[in-house]
Amino acid sequence: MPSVTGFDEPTDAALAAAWQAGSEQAATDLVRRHASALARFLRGAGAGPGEVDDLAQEAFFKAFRGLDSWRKESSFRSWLFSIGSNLLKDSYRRGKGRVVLSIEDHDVAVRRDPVSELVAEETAERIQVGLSGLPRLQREVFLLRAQQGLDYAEIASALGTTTGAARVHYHHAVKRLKELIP
Amino acid sequence: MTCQELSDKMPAVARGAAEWSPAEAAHLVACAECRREWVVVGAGRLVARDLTVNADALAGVVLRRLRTEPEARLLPRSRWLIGLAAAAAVVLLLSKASGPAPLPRGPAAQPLAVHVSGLTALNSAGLADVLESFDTMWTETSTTDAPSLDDLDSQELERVQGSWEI
Repeated sequence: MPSVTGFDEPTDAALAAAWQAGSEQAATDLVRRHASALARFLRGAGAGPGEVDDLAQEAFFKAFRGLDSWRKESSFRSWLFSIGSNLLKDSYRRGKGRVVLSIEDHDVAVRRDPVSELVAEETAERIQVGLSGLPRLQREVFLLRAQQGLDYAEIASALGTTTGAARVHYHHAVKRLKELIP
Repeated sequence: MTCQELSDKMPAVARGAAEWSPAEAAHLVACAECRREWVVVGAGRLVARDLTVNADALAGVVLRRLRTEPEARLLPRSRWLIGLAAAAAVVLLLSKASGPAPLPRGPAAQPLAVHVSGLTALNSAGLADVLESFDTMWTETSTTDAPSLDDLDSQELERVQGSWEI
């Protein structure tokens, strides 16, 4: 779990408390710990390349401003994802979000030699494009499960749904994405 | 061993947090649907993998905003006032939606009792008395100040005449 990364590493809750007590270093540590995962989730969920930074910045800003509303039964990361997901949804509503993903040069992974890696990367690109055709909840549930490794309870908490519904969304997403696999 | 059990375990195995048991591995080899799902889950883990974020720069911007942007926190009193204003707006909307407000009413008007059948038996003096009584009743029962035409200016007169022509 991201909240406990080792004996010397403070938990997310401890960092959050330290930030509330005035430690900017604690806030910086939380950003370092979760920024990459949040950005990957946002990108996979449909944020444009130029939009990811803005959304991530806004998500952290809202998180630090609203730490009192973080109920500790969900992890900081899944709570952060819920903020990011809502921001992305608002972005779609305003018409700023991109619904259709395109694979651009800088999105394509640096290809390493092994053929299996190449195949995996190509499949990932295909999946990323396929994700754009899924309904929002299916797309986000799939990403939180497959990309981020969250369990259904955390996914349900992040997306404001039930574990049963999250499981169903995941099942439908996988079914659709399997059609893209030759 | 079921496909569902394998499906539930796939994300953990894909990120290296778990391993397939021999039975699960055997199922994976034998089941084409599970193999395809395994490929999807493995690929899903790689989505946007190479996206890089400058976390320190991001933290710097966020902290600067936190220092400079005022907190949009409403005082309890402000919330109460906003609630009151919203309630007033709803009442206004409802009252407008129920149609135009009725004209103010004065005391209840006395019923105008005219026995028409008896008029034929009256002579001209009697009819004049009846007409006079109408005037009296009108004056007594009217709740509006009916201005005479003499009180109107030329524009108002034109308007009144226009309404008669319609």
